[in-house]
Amino acid sequence: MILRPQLQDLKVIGQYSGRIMLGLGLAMLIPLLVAVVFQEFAAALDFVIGASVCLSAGYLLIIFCFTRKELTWRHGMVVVSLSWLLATLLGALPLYLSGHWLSFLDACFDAMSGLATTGLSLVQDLDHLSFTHNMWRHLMMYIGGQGIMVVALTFLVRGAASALPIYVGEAREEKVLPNVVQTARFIWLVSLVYLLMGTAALAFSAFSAGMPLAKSLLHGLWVAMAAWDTGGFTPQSQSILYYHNFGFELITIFLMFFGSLNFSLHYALWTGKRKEIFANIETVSFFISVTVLFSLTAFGLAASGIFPGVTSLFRKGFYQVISAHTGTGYMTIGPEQFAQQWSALSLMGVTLCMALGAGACSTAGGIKILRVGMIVRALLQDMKRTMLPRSAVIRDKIHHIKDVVLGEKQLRQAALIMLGYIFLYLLGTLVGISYGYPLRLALFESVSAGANVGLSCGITAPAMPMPLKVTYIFQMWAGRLEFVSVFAFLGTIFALIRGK
Amino acid sequence: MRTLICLAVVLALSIAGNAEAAQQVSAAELLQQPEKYDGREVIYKGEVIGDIFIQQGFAWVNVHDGTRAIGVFCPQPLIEQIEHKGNYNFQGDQISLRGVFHNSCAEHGGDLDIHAAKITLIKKGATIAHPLEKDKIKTSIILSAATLFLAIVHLVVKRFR
Repeated sequence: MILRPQLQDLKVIGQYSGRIMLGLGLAMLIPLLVAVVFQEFAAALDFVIGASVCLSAGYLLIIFCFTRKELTWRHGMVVVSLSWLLATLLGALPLYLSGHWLSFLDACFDAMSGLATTGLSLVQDLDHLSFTHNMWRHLMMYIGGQGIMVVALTFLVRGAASALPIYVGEAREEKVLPNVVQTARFIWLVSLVYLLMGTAALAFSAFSAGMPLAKSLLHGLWVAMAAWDTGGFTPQSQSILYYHNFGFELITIFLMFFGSLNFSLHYALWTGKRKEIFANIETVSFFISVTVLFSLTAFGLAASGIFPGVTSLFRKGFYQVISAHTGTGYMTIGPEQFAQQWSALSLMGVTLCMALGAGACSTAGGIKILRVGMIVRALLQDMKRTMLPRSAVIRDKIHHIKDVVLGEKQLRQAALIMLGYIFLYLLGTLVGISYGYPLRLALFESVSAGANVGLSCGITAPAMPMPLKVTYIFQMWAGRLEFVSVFAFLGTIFALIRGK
Repeated sequence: MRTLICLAVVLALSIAGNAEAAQQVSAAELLQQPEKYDGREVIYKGEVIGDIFIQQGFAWVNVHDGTRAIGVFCPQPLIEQIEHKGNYNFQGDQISLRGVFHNSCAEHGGDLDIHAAKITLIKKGATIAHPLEKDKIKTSIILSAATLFLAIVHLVVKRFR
């Protein structure tokens, strides 16, 4: 028998969601400040409206959903999923009011893409968008990459015990420090350090090339935000190609790589355990995967003869591979080049990079290389077993911060999530094919949405069919939250309708 | 010396290009049929957007034709006539350029670009006005007042709880 959630359960969910809405409303004050500094007053009005709606919604939920009931695991999961949807709807409001998005659905698409650190976009005439709206697009990406809940845990939730369900609900299984609030604060510390370094390096690079100082700082900040959070939004329509700057490419590769590392690994590096980067199963698997998939991509590119020399092939091929594998989505080629010029083999290499993803407990999406490493390791051990005598004892151990014995439960969990992603990728592919897109392109774009990458072969455009937009929004949402909290949310809705 | 050689190459290309009439193309055409135009002289028109980046006597200009932007590499003197670059506050200058299209430029790490030998200003850019909309002002005032009211209610209710 399915039990219908009680009023008190809904109040707990409403109470926490209200706090998230308050946080989102306060975050909108940052673009508002940018509007004042750069005298973009028409754009400022969009954020006065947006922030007011967020704050009002937040206060209403907090006032009317007051309860002393404690947050349970199920509540936490529902709060996470619901808050992501509400943040998408409310975050889209100032975007839509700017007039640069054709419909509210398109604005929601970009808001979800930003929050889920995907980077696919339906914006119109991006090159004439205000600094104010660009700041909001990149800020949403930064907030989403850090984790909306991490932001909330840092600033809005006091009790560490009650915070655990919502931390885990946002696809962060590992606690870097014993306390989740401390973990959330550590994530902020690391992110801000890299953000400052990245901003300084990119701003210097842009300024040296002739961009005005204030604009260099803003572009540096935005590109660093989106690279570190493996998001992929850029303030100009040509992505990284706009800058025509090799330095920009190198700095973004550095930021994308470190942004895709597990925060536990960051903590190990932070505390002086530098050897961990060479021993950890995640980094080892990542290097192997990048090497194999880049070779595959490069072989395809060489065979098709698109690039005039080895240097160009390496520069373009490696950048797209790293961008795909870290889940960022920055491009130094046009979407049409992917679709028309890259061979099926090269496209498959990049698609596999996107599908696998990077570090767990990082800002990257996709299956995650830790899970892939665990499954491959288990497979190898099974093969070894078949070759050794039955009496031989094989211990399945991996090194992830410390030596860990691979258990059946962990493997099952990893395999289930991998399966979930494969279904998610297939869903978008099927919808894409049903609208007449070729299989390889439909698969590419679907994996890009489901793994929160943002590379595009041109399917994502304002003119694409509405059901495909909705499918990609769902994929970005479910892919970012890694299914569990999405299932909890859908289960709660089902229980509300059919429960007793 | 390097600049002089590059200028000479660009000049030679432009002369060679004149022998065969350059075709006017859109960004969509270049991106859809790159093999047709690769290495050939083309005429491309569009709005200058964003920033101009200078590199050792040469400049990178991004030109948007309404569908896509393409990077244009040219000698620095050619950009002197460009005054407005498109952004939130400005409609950029409309230019027409003649140059060689590269699907994957060997000189620039495989970038898709046009090496321009001639740039002509078609239309000067202008300021874009962003008037404050009355409806938005009214909505902002009403919603801000509602937010303030709810914040006060929240504080009062919190005290009594």
